[in-house]
Amino acid sequence: MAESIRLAASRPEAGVLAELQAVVGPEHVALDAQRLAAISRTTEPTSTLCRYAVFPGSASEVAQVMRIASRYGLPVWPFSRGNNWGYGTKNALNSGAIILMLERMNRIIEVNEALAYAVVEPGVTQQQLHEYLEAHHPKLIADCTDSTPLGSVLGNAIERGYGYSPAGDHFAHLCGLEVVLPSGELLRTGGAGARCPTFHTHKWGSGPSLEGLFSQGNLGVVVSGGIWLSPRPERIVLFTLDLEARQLTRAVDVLHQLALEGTVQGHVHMANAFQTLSLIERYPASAREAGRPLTADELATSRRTFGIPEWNAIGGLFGTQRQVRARRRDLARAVREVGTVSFFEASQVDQVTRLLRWSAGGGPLSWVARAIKSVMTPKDVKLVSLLPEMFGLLHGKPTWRVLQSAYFKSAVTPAPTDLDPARDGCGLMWLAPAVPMTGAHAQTILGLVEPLFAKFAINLSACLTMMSARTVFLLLGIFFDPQNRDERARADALYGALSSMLAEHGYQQYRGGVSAWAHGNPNRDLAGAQLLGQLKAAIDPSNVLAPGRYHT
Amino acid sequence: MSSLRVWSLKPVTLFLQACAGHVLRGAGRVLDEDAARPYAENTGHLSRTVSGVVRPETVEEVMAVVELAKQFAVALYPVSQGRNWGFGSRLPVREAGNVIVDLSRMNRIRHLDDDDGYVIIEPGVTQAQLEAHLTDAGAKHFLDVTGSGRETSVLGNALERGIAYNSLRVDALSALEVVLGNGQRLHTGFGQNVATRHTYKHGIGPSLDGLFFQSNFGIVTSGTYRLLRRRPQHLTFHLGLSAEALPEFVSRLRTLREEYPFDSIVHIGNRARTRFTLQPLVNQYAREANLSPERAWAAVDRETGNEWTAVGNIKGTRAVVAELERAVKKTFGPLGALRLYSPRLLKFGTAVSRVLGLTGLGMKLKVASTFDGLNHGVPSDAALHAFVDDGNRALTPAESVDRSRTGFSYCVPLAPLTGFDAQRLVDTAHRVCGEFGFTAEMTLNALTAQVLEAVISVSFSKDQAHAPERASRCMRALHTGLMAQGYAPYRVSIELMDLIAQPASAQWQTVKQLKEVLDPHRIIAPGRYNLV
Repeated sequence: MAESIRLAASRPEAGVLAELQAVVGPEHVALDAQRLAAISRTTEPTSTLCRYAVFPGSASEVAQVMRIASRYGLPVWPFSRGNNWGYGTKNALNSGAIILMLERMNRIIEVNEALAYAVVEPGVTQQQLHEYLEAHHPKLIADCTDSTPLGSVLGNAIERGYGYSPAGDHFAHLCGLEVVLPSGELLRTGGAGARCPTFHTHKWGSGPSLEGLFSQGNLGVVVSGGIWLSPRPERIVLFTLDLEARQLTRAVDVLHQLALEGTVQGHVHMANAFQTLSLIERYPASAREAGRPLTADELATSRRTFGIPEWNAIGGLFGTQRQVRARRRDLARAVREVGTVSFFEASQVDQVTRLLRWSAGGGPLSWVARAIKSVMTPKDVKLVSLLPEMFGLLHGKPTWRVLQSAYFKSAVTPAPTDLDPARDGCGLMWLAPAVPMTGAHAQTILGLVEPLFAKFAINLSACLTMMSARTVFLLLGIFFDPQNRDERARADALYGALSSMLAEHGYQQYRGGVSAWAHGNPNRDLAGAQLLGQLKAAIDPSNVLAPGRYHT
Repeated sequence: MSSLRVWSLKPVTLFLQACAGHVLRGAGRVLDEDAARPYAENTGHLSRTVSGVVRPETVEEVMAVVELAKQFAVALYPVSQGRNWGFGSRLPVREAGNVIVDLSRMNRIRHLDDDDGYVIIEPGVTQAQLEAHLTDAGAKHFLDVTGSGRETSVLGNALERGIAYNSLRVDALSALEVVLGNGQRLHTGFGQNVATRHTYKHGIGPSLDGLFFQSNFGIVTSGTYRLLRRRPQHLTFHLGLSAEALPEFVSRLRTLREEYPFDSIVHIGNRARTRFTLQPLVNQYAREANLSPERAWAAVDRETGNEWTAVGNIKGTRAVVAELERAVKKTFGPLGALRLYSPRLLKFGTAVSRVLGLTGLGMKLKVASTFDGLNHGVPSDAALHAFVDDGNRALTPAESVDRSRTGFSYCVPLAPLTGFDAQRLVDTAHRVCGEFGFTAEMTLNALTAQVLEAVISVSFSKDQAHAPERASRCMRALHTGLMAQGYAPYRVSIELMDLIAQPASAQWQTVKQLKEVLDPHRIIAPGRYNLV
């Protein structure tokens, strides 16, 4: 890192700086070492230091920055809000890049209530959109992820992230993009120009469709996009399914059928016990300091203490009263053989919320609440306290609660809000292969990853998320203590071992980050990778826009 | 062959000779200009010289053809089954010097996965072929078909973003195998040896699938096509509407789509369209029932004489269908004459009315059941019968369309799904077509909860002086008029490419740049959905 600081300081580049400052205003270019170091902080084992961070306020400023960068041949890495923790946060692949932070571009340009879409800039956060809709369009909801409420709506969709409701495939709900090309030109996808009233309602204009080029790539900076919203369903029911490990493959098969038939519509999340534990408990300090994984006995004890099943699925049923009643019945019947299913209606969640409020702050309790409280231990409360937050997620209400798991192995106690795992020095990497949704595949891939986690002495944190009726993503979390050099090195080595093993077995990661690109090209299809290189050369001939992002 | 003769030969001839000599051996696989003449037939007055046709059967042959085309600098226009009726049929965009790559012999169904519900198909696979394959396999899934005939290509239609009875074909196609103009073979999505290749659309990094729909970068030689799951219950509703009721119907339709799991495409046809399509059916029925055509039409008009007839599907589990049925009755009942049919009811009712001699009912059920199979994945040539020449029974209905003396041309604009936009679009279509002396035949398709597609056609006699030219001018004026109101077409005819590919737009300049990478020699379909 010291080397890159020298590199940044030694280049005569007063010209670039002056030009950038002239475009966005001097107050919107960060250059002091301390601030840059803070911006470059990441949750990954290694980090890169940026040269400047530029905060443009409009698409035209982005275009001018791109033109300056092309002229000087300086790499520019755009980030929406930069909360891409576990995938590189807001690090460029190499030190010395200009970081383009789009957070000031945070306008909700339009919400079309009749046609159920919003047009947003990259700086618009999940929380912002949620609050705006609650205030002005209460009939509509926007799906959200379980990561930070301050995460970018557009950034997540472009990275093909996902949430919980039937509208949870975020890229699939993105329609009509405005993109600044590396040349500085502004491109509108769809081919029909500015007057087209279906720009944000129909993905396919006439001619080839270019939207795909700008997801997970480095061919343009997306400066606005349409997001399809959903009318608030009449009824939403949350369900959980407790599973023994030996029932997991059967459960995947059953959910696969239910999803194909349309009974289960949303993105069911199936977490292993370690992952669930990370949501409600702190990693024992002794184990953290020793840099060792939790033993099977320790895990079993925690599971008993908190009543955590070996695998825990959580999802929603959405629709009118009648539909939900029918779906609930069909689901209960189908999963009876594989695990224990529980349903939570809005009224029950309300009860729990009230109970939690009372148990935290005292106050008068109804006799029902008193009775429930008398049999609950403080530890039960922890698991139950997740319920209202998860129920909110099904309604597109962002929460800080799930992000607390990023602090599981950290010495820092997470605050209730304003979490920032990179700022707070948490160690975390995500790696998420796409897996065909069959029990056999789920079993195979878990059988492949488990021994590697064991080999590098890190507990397996796993969550299988239904992306469609046909595909699940296996989200693997590598938690480590960045202060512990040995564990940090093991985490890095585990990432590398998982990457190559998965590629060898034909499981492709759905998304990558700096670690993925540093560990080699995640796109193993040679013709495809070669072609992307050619497209890159045609659209970004000076190779200044995020070079090396998603392909080398 | 002396070198002098070689010197005097045109590149196309040399290319065809090289194909015949080295790549496509065997009779009928390379056609010269004379033999290629039938390929120039179309539904309008379009005239293009087709200099030759090559008919590869494998990906390797397609690659070899592309290599030779690069060598001889010959333009290739690929067609699957070539049934792009109303948009140019099999014709190239450019006037002359073109070779058609006819992929109809590449018709393998490479794989059927009935658990996940998809097939891997080649461009020559037709709706009828795939349906038969699924039926033979006793599959739980069915192919969502278009109304446009049994012998049309599934892949070709999907690449043109065609619209089936229940879904958009563009959403069903992924994992494409493409031979690029630069000679490379590309697999979009995750590459070839990846477990989720056929079940998850995207790879890692930018998604390239979209590049090969409506484009001229390469020849798609196979793709993964998603099927629909058969549902325990399936009902079809028919609703007759007056001209005034259309905007209200459209706005209610959107509410229904938003609030219920009602996800099939509703087709709303106007009277001119219904009459054109039903003509042969009514004539046949009149013969069978021993009625005069007038009386048969009177019977039809009593049932389908409304200005608009909407047809939609309800499908799902028993509980879902019961709820949707109630919702449809409540929402649409007050607007017009609503009828619900199940396939069993249609069969039973047709038989009963025949026995009892109930003309009106019989006719109505006949109409309903002729088109009902389309909802359930049974392709039909019913819509093509208007083009069958009674004097030339040797031709299949599909073969008749281009040769028929009745010509037609399409305009397919998109609009937001609102009553206001639907009415404005319909008014514009009537006004412009009327100015040119045509009646606008229209179907409005509610594609999603947000988007309406209109299929507007004019039909004419090819033998009537200047009628085809007038239709062509009418189509250009209609496109221009609708585009000025913001209603851009989702697909265009080969003679209107200039209207959509705008040199001033960054999107189209980027598409042109992509062409330079993917097809630097510009041999694939020059001018098709591109500036070059």
